[in-house]
Amino acid sequence: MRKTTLLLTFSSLLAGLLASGAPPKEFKTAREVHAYVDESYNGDNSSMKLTLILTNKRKEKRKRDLTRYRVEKIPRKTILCWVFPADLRGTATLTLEVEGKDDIQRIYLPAMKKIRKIATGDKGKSWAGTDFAFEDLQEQDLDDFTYSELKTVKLGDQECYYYSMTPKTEDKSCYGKIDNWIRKDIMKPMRAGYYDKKGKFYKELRFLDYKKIQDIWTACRLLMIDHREKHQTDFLVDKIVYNRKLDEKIFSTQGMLDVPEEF
Amino acid sequence: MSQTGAVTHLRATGLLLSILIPMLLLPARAAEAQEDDPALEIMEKHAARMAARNEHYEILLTIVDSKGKKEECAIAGVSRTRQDGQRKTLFVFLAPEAVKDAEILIIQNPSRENEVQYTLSPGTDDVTTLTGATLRNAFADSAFTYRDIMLEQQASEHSGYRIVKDEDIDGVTHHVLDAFPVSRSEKDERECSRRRLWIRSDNHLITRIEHYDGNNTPVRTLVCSRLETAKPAGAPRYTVFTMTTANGSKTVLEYETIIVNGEQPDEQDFILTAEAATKSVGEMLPGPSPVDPQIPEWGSIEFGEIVEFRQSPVTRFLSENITLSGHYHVRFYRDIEKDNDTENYNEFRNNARLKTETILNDSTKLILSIDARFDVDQNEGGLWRTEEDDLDLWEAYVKYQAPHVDVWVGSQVIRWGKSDELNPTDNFTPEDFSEMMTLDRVERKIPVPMARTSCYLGDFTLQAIYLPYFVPAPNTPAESDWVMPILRTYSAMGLTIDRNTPDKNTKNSVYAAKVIYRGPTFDVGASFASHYNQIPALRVLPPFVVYAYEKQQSYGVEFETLLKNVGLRGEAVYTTDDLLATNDPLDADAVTERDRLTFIIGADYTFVNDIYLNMQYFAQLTDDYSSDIAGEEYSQSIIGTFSRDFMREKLELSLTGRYDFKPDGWFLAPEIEYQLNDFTTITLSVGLFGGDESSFFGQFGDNDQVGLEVKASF
Repeated sequence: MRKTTLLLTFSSLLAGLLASGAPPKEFKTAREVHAYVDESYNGDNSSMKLTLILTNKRKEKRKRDLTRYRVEKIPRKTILCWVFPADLRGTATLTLEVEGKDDIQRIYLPAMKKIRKIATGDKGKSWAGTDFAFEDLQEQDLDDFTYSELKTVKLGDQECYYYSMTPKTEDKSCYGKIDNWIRKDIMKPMRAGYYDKKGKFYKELRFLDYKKIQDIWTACRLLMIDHREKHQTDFLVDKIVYNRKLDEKIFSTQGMLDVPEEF
Repeated sequence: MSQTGAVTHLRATGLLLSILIPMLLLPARAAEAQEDDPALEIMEKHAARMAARNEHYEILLTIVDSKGKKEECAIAGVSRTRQDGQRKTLFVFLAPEAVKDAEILIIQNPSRENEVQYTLSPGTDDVTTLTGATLRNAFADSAFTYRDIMLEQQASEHSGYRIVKDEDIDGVTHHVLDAFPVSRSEKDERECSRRRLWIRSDNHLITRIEHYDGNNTPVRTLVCSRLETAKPAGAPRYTVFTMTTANGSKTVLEYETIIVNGEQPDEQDFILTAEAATKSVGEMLPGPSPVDPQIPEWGSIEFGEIVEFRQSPVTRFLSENITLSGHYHVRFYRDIEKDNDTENYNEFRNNARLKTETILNDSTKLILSIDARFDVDQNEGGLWRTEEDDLDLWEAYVKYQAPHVDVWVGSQVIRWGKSDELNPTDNFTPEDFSEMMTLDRVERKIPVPMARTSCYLGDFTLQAIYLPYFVPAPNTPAESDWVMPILRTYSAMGLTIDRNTPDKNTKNSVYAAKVIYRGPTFDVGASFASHYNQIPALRVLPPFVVYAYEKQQSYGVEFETLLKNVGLRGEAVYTTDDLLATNDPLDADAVTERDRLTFIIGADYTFVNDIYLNMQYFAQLTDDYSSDIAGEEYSQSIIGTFSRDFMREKLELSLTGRYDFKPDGWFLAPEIEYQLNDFTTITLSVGLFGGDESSFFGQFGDNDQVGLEVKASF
């Protein structure tokens, strides 16, 4: 099963230049582009400190600080630890990918001193109160979607590939359709538009502030805007380091109890 | 603050915003600095360090006048510098209400021609233009001037600099420079005739500025503090600026966020309208925007080598290795009905906890916390009475970590078991039931001295616990409404309650071991424990009623799995010699020992729309049951929680309940929890108890209450 991550969101956050070299000059289908971007080299592993700023329609803000470690080698492993706010500090979520099966996900709740197995969550449910849905964070099968004709369009001054993805069956996605704009110059996502099951546009994701970090193009800011709820989530990368020597212990139940906030 | 004053105040504060305080006198473009002028070279290095193509920031401004009256102001700002050197800055005031949506737009040019400052008053849309000598005035009760908010351009033509000396401050060499206005315009705009600057030699940041009048008398002093790394560029910046004046007023500017060289703002972001200003700082965007993000054409600004901030060894250790956290939890409860003259009608609970986590070395950590409580009750007669006022050492333990092994030694809280509210296999750290169920279980747990270890062997974890002596659950104060009614009956009969507990020696130690397997589908565990009953049985030995504790052995199992997205959890424990009450509590043999099987199984699921449901079935089966034992041979309870999040987890409504069968008793707790901000939660709750008077919850039927609590965490 060939999987795509987060519909080009989180993985694309880290997505970089292809390990195989420069992109081919032209693609024939949208699926090819989608697969190409999704398989971009993200480093063998990454360590990241990030801030989430949640803003509601009254412009009230809430802040979340997290540290994330990820191993890209299959089976992928990710551990996400909350640093702020204080009542969530130390809460850690460990996700272990199992080839051909659902991911294993556990959470450590420091207040309860417990490690619990958790469901990966309903696809459409908001992740941690943000504008990202659980589906945006989960692995998806590339073949769960049909792809529109591939077009070349301009978004601002930027030449982009543009295509839509539609889930083959309703249960495959919480969205009715997803529009994608992929920058041709660096083959990175630039914009995504999300439609509900009735075909109404309601959410968009902007990939901002691309920086070449350790030779990997990295979007240091993701802005997800829910126009229906007039709510937005700013996903800001405070620090990211690729290909550090990561202690395997971090991705274990022992590591969950004490995830390093700094690296 | 009046609307008129708002604009004035707004200007005053604007200065603060200008990132610029550190650059108050620096040449933003001091490229023309003369190579043979070391003072200008220093200023040039500072300017280079502070240069940025854009900045986004949020600032909290606190203005304290000479009488101590304080006002706060929240501001968002954005700046951009064009390649030709033109700089635009826009400040938007977010709070308080009186200045909300007021704006300042500053336009500066390298030639210094056409420099201007515009202020927009909220509501009236009046725009005021400021130039020249009007910039030297102080605004409202702020300690800053209009001029302070502007960058100096081509400073060498307008300001002179002279090195006074080098000075060592906190181990860091500072260049001390004097700055004085040269050009006519500079003299017009500056309210002082000389400024003295302290500039670090390692990173060229300004740490202090003193302003002097024509008589060489200091009139204002700026102190820069809290060195942090701006994101995402990685350049160090001071983020707190305190300006004090000779008359005792003070203004503190504190950056809450600052992003250097982030998203490049558009030209239309620098228009004096609230909408555009808001847009410029990344706030709510009105619908899909045709404006697309660009790769900044300038690329990254190089800040040059960043010299590590020199700290004393002690300061460095404290900042890098010690984490401080804590909370303040205040709760107020009021009985729904006045049932009798002796009950506590109002209860006021205060709890503060301070916790430090110190990294001793790569493998060892020290956790220390203290806990302060102050609880008072008011009875029907209106008399307030202190129920508890304690200051205790709370958790105090060392954690040692090695490959595959963790060891914890000291006073700590642990929690065994897989299920949610009740854990039959968890018999080590006591719970404080002095408020019954009004506290969450997490908060009822009390740390006790122990040593424990976990060994991680692949999918298996081996755990062992050793408590050198047994620590029972604390006694509920005799005057509390939550004391067991039977104790009041005993007291009324003239019997003395002897709260006897096992001696604190190793003969009364508690120990346990557990093996856990965490697999892809199932987590399972098996445990053994030698422990005491946490809740005492009552043995009547006239003239005393004695608390009875017995050593018990428990054999437990637990499991956890997911069925689709439904979480299934359960645990069971077989306990030997459990102490049970008999039907005649006045009988000297009112306590009997039996083996018991206790188990709980439950499921939880989160529905669409953030509805969460958790249901658990709890039961106890008594071995060798006889009719003289109080309660049923097979006792059963249903426990449930239903909750729903609203407003992106800002608001939660929940209903928690428990129903015990035979004798029937129940507890119900609807609750509304609202996150006021990232630090504070407010909860409104109701606690309802009912059922047969012989049931556990029924005996507290007079204690129905409403509660309001505020918890602030940091």
